[in-house]
Amino acid sequence: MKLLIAEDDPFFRRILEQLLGSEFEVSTAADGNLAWTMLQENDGPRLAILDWVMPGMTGPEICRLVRTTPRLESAYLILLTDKNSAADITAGLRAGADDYLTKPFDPGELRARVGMARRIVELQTDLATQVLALEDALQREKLLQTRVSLLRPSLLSGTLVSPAAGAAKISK
Amino acid sequence: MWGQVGNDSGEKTGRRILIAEDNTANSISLLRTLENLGHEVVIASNGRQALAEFGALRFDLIFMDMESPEMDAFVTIQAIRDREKAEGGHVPIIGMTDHPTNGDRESCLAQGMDGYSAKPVSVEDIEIFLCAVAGSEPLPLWRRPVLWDRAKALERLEGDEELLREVVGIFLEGKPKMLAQMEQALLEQTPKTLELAAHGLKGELAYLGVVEASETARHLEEMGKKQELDNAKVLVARLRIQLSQVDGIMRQI
Repeated sequence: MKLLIAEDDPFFRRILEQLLGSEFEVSTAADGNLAWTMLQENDGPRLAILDWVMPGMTGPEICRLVRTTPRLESAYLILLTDKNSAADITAGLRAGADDYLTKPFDPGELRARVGMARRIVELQTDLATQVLALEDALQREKLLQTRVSLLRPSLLSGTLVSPAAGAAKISK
Repeated sequence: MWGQVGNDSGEKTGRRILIAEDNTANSISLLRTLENLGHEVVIASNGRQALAEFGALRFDLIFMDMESPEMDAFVTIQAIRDREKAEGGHVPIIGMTDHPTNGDRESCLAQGMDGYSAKPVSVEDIEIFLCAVAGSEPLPLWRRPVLWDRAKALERLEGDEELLREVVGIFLEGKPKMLAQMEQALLEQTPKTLELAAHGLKGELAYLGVVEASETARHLEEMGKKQELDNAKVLVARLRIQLSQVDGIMRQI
């Protein structure tokens, strides 16, 4: 799974990259604006660790943007912060973060939280696949019903219509 | 930059310092160091003399031997503090000991001292103490050396020695730049720059298990945030010393 680490401090960037590199396909960004660009890419990461204080956009600012962009809504965002007062944490979560980690973080806690994030992203991906399959099935059903409704008058009037002609009518 | 501490406010940098110590070799060595730094020094070789000097002159700082029976530090300090209660003022007193232990800190505090130092008192210690005097901040109880909890740092990196070496390298490389940014921020009076640089250092120091220096950086971050830079200079100076000690420790390993 792809994971974005957005952290301006090379010290923490390296630590996170090394600790999580074996489990994830890690990409890194040293400022908030680059992180936002990477999140918007097609097939971009759906899981991100965002530092709170960064040049360019801050972590909470990125959270807000992600939450108001329908295509990205389902991304799982973890804020990295040393602001551990209740008010700061609430502000981070209100901005749209799914979770937060405070520095200095314990590697066990980091793994546990990122692991939970991975499960949620996987569940969401499964769910999205199922929804797509369902939508697809619904489409087919509709198509069939349209065919039936087009064929019915011909059947009732006793006129037989070739399948090709039927399809031509549907496409109209 | 140490000499500049007093200059900024227009006062002279030289301080008057009392050394209360009965070991002549120790007191002469400390006297030389202090005089070389431009301070005026008076030596008292027993408790009675120390009290007499204290009564006759105003001192900015007192170094007092904690162990000598001649000095009887407890009684002498008690008398100084009693006199201050009646007349006002508070002169910082630094206890000096041959073999500092954790117990010494408590013992120093209990006796009315403001800090303590191992013998011989290093130039760095002297500068820290004088810096605190110049900034009229409450003297922190001085512990030395600055501790690096290497085991904690290693634990946070899941025991990866190679990663530890690598991130210590990143820290040591980035540190001078952050310190320079802080000093620049003080010169240009830009609290936001101070806040950001202190924030960065604080996080790295805390992660590496350098708690005291991280605390200093945290104070500086707060000052930057509140845009109160009045006492920041003293703290930046202290942080610089703490970091140079950390640097020494880390480079040995």
